[in-house]
Amino acid sequence: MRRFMLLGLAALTAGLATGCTEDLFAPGVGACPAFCPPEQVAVVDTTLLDAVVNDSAYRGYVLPQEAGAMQLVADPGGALPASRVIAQFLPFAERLLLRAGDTTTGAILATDSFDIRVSVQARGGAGLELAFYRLPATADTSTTFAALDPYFADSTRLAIVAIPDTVTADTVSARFAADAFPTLDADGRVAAVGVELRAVDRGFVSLGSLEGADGPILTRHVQLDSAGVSVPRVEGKLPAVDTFVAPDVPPSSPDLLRIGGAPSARSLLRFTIPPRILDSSTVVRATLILVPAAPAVGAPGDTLHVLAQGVTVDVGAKSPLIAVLQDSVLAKRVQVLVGSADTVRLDLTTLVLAWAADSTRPRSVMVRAVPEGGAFAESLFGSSASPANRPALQITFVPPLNLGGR
Amino acid sequence: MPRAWAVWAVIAAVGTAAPLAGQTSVYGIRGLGFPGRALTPRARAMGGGLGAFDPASPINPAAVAGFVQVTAVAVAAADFRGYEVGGATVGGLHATRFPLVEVAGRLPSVRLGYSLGMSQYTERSFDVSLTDTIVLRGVDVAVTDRSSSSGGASDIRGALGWEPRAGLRIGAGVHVVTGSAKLSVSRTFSDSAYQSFRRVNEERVSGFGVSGGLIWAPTGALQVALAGRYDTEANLEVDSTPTGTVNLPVSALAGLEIRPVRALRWASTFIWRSWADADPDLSGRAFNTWELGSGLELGGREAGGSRVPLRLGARYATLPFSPTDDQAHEVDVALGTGIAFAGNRGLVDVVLERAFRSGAGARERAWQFSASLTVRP
Repeated sequence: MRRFMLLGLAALTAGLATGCTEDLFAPGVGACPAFCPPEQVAVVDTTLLDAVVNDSAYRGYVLPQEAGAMQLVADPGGALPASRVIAQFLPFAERLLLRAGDTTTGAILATDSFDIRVSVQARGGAGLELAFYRLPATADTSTTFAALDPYFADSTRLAIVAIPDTVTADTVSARFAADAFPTLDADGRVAAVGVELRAVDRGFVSLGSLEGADGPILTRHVQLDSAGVSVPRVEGKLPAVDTFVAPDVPPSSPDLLRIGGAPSARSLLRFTIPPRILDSSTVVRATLILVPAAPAVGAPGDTLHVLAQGVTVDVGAKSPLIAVLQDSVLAKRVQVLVGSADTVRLDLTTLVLAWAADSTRPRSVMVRAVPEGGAFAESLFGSSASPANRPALQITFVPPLNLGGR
Repeated sequence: MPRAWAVWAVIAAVGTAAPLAGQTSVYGIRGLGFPGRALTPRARAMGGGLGAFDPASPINPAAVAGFVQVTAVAVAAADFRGYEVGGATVGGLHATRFPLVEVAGRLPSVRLGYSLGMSQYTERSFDVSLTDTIVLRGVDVAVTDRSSSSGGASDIRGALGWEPRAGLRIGAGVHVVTGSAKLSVSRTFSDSAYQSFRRVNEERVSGFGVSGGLIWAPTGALQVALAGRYDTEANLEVDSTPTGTVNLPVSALAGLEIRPVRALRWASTFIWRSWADADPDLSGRAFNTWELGSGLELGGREAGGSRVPLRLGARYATLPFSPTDDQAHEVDVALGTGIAFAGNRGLVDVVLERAFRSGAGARERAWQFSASLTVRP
């Protein structure tokens, strides 16, 4: 009997160590609602057409010389004007080291040639060629597209290099003659190069920039005096300045929300959400709906990525953005093809949940392009002042649910 | 071991063991939950028939006069369950709880017994999940809902039982009904674009009651018992916000015990409760209930023969809460025994029950095992 009791107590102890879940309901089985708790979760989905208020667009966040890429566009006969890259390189040295690990330098006896290497980060179109031109050493970020016209001529062309149609992301090199920069010494050994895209049809190329740690490199091949003996040496230089320029375009309607372009534009949207949704309910999904006012503009075949970010403080155009991890950027950005007039939907769930949790957070969202400033692609959306295509907020929520029903 | 230490050791052992979330019955999802049975394993083994006379089963305060010395009782119970409802068959459910703990004693000079204890009034523990497909933004989205409750209400009773003369015991008790349940509802979506939803509330229930009873033994072989209990309405709060009241039942009890020979005891107890008073306060239905339990005890420490008694019992009961107009009922059969040790200062009683419940479109089967430890230092 004692053994029987011990077994019973052991079984009781085993029961203490476990819990369980009832799988009461499966699709097609009608146990509910009779034998389910009376509280059932309801989900409501609604589109708030007047949730966006006081929205504005601002330009100038990332200038072309600050961007991680430089876009060259060829659109013969198209709406988008061509663009040009300017690269002013750091000064070459007057003397060079004869050998590594030694401080002895030798005088430069002669220049044999120059090489330039550029990085192609993206491309669109076929039959593309890069044309390189000699620019005045003074060309810099203040140089306009029109001011470059005299220097993008046959007489100043240094080289033309074809970009194989198979190349989507690679480096392209060109060789210049020894006299490519005749005033190099007079210019303090500073060289400047302009780049233009040529295409049979339409196309674009995005070149890496100094700011993106992928800028062009200009290499000089020289003969060095080594105790009366001429020895070959090379010297490469990164740009001191690199940028890209395009003709000025007339400003579009101020009632539109702009995203992207170069210099880059952002749109700040402020939200007002009914308390019955934000405070009393539980939001499970929120989506910002942006309706294009016109097809996205930009280089033919290019793509714009749009991202919505919250702001830590709403001070208008200079509102600091809430940091977003790169994984989230990749997950939440929305792709817009140039020429597309499709509605853009951006996920705001995380932001709206944060607003619900903390009423002091600014209920504002900055919509921008990622990456910014390195391309001409730009989307134009209707603003809250545009009755026909104003932005809206589609929100899915669970209304208040008071447990305790019997 | 000093007496006080032994008593408090039993109380501490129960008080520090946290009950795990489990399920009592599919019939406890609606209403106030599944009614607890404030009975010791000894009384349960006799189908509840001994309940009206058992000092340690807190349903008749007159029985408190039967305590002869300082006593501490703790009960643990486990059940293993399965049910069928709406074409769904669910099995493998189990739960563990501590439905009764009590400390009692007697003032011999005035033949007054006293008792303070806590028993399970109702239990509303469940954890159910369901899957469905809903249309959101024009797309089918699979959802999984989970609804759970962990907790219930306890009945804290203080009672005095007086034995003014041999064969007559009368008693009275005051009751505090109190408890809480952690309620949780959640929904997850198959589409990760939707955030999962979860709401947790704590529900509290509180009420009061009084009880009185008597036990009369006209002969040494016969005892009869009568008892009644009146409870106030229970106040309900969810997260400290009053949400309403629910009428608690009035209870009436009658018992009969016959001992034709010293080694054989036959006891029956009938209990009626006015749970229908709660019907207007609930979304489901509430019905008055009655139950009749009867059982035998052969041998045992009081019989002077075998130290190990054999107990058999059966019980029929109607259940108070139902989602439909069909009142569910329950049939139990029980088998139990017990053993004394340490010179009768310690007792262990065990019972194994098989419960059959049906009604309102569902059928439920359960094995229930209970064990008690009684210390009389």
